Amino acid sequence: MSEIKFSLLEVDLTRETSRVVDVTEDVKKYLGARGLANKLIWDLVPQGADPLGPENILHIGVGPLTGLIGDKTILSFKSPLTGWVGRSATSGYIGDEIIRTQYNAGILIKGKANRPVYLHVYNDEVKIEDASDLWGKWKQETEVTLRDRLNKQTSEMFAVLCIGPAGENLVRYANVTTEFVHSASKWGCGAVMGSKNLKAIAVKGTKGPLYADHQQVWQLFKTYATSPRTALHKLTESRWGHTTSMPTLLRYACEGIKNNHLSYNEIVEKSNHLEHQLKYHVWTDGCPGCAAACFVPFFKNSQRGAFGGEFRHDNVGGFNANIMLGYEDMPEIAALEDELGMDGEELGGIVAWAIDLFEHGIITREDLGGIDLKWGSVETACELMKKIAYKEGRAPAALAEGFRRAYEVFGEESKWYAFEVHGCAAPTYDVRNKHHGMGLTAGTSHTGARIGLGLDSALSEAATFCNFATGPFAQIWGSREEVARVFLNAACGWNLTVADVKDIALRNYYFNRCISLREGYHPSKDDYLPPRAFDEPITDKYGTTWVWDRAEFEEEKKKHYVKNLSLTEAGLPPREGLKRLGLDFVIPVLEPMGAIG
Amino acid sequence: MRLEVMSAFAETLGMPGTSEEIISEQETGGDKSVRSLLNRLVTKYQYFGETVFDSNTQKLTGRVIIFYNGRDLELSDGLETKLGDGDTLTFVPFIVGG
Repeated sequence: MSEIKFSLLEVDLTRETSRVVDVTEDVKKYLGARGLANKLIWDLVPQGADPLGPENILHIGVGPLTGLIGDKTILSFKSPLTGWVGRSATSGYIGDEIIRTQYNAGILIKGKANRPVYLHVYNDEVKIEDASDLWGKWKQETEVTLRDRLNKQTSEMFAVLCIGPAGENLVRYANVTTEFVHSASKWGCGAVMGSKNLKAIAVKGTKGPLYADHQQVWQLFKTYATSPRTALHKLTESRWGHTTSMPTLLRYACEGIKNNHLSYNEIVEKSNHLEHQLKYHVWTDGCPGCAAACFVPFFKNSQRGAFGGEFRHDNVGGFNANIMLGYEDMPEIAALEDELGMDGEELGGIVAWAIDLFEHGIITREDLGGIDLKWGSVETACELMKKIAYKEGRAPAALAEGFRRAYEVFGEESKWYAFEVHGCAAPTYDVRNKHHGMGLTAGTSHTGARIGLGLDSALSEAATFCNFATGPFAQIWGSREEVARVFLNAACGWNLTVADVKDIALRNYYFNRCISLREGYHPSKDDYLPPRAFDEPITDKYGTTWVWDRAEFEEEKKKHYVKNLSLTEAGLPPREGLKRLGLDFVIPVLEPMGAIG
Repeated sequence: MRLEVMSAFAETLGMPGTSEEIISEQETGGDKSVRSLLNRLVTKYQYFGETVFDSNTQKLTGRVIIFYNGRDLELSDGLETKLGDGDTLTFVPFIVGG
């Protein structure tokens, strides 16, 4: 069985050229998507480069398994929010379409166009097209307009990834969306696209995926598709989507309540996703090839209008109760988030912070461009979100820059009210709750206050596979690593062992962390929790009070680095580990910075 | 009454094979509350205690969502909800993120 080749479509927006690059050897070492992107960022983005400048890159990443185990596309870039490595993930058809163009290492965007453009990729036909009529449109209109236009031209239905006004205006947590609600949200990928004058990417692939052994891949996939475990997995995922946890998390005071100030509060009982689903769930859908089918959109009519969308943990968790709204009021906010194009998790912390600052007189009505912010107000929250997206007004423009830059505008007294880690909002999985919260994970993340980006994701976001799809796969084949081994060998013609797969994951995790270290992240100064995590206890519905002791956090951090992240006690990648995994080239760069363990 | 668990999840609880189990009213125990049923299930299924209900603290672990006749159990009387013939408890794994 011969090994397949991996091709990267490289697009230079400055020169308006494109080429196909053979990256097979890199994919064998790092897999694709976020794995390959580590190498691309390290090699192509100069240390210290402006994330909103033309030297930044944007990799729309797929991997050898994209479309086989869910359909995840990973965007990689240098983050305008943190200045460190950035990554963002989306689901939907875009990954499948890229795979079917046979640019099976994804699409790399370099440079900056001299006018608004969109990228058109239809198999081998790659064009940089004028987007002046799309610039300024909200997301749904952008996507519908472009898909309709391309359908008329080609009779095909393209997958479209686009930014909204927030991305155009370089809001540092602007996101990118496909199919209206599948968003790659974290760390400002939308602003990176906006900084390149790239309004959208439209992809259609009709060639079919490249596999070394199509028969074997088909047999593996059939095993999954026909397993009773898969059918039963679907029953939960497709009925309830991904917010089954929300009522519980809120009762454990794990999702922010009133800017993460309050203990369990009656607003929690107005924030029940399970009830929301019973009332407003309209249908169920899934990504290509995935039986979980966990996309559960809702539709709700209200006096303020009709709103549709999907509640996921990441777009409403840490938002609704954090600004003292119940779920009945969230459809409009979630829809606006999607249309303007901003990360809901970041907004949940930023908007709550703004209300807190207004209440305490640190920002004024004049600063806000005439808004009287209040807790529990859909109207004022929506007004503020629009002003942030368009950077209208002193305070909204500052809020659009994220916490760290906003401190320079609002002053020292604003800092205590900010519930952030690494300059990123941390309204969800409250860092104080040691049971359901994620203080250690968020507090040690080199991407900025994020759970779930440890060693597991270093594999899943390079292969790619979707964590929500993997349940039955892991039950059928025994472990995630074994799933990856079996599928990669069949798809790529390789002969990996489980140990090889684990090494790939660790290599990718270290490399990803090394990029942030190169850009100035250092655990000794950056891995902290907000002061309120130590000074402001919260109590959950069941009577347990949660707060960290500072010495305890420092001790637990060390254990977490070593046990869960394979780092040294200082949170650094170990020299011998880097050498063993073929990453010794980072040592001369990081050692003078004191960033090697 | 009927006790319903997702099959793959049932194995996690130590329930072999089946996804659905009928519990007789006698098995619901003493005061026929959800609490007394859970206490009995902890002794019956190997991993039920660590996954669903800690009989030492008498608290749910928070890792499982329990539906009572299709709705969030906590919207009824929580663990003190009384069970009777025809009632269904459904245990669903706790999914986060996305």
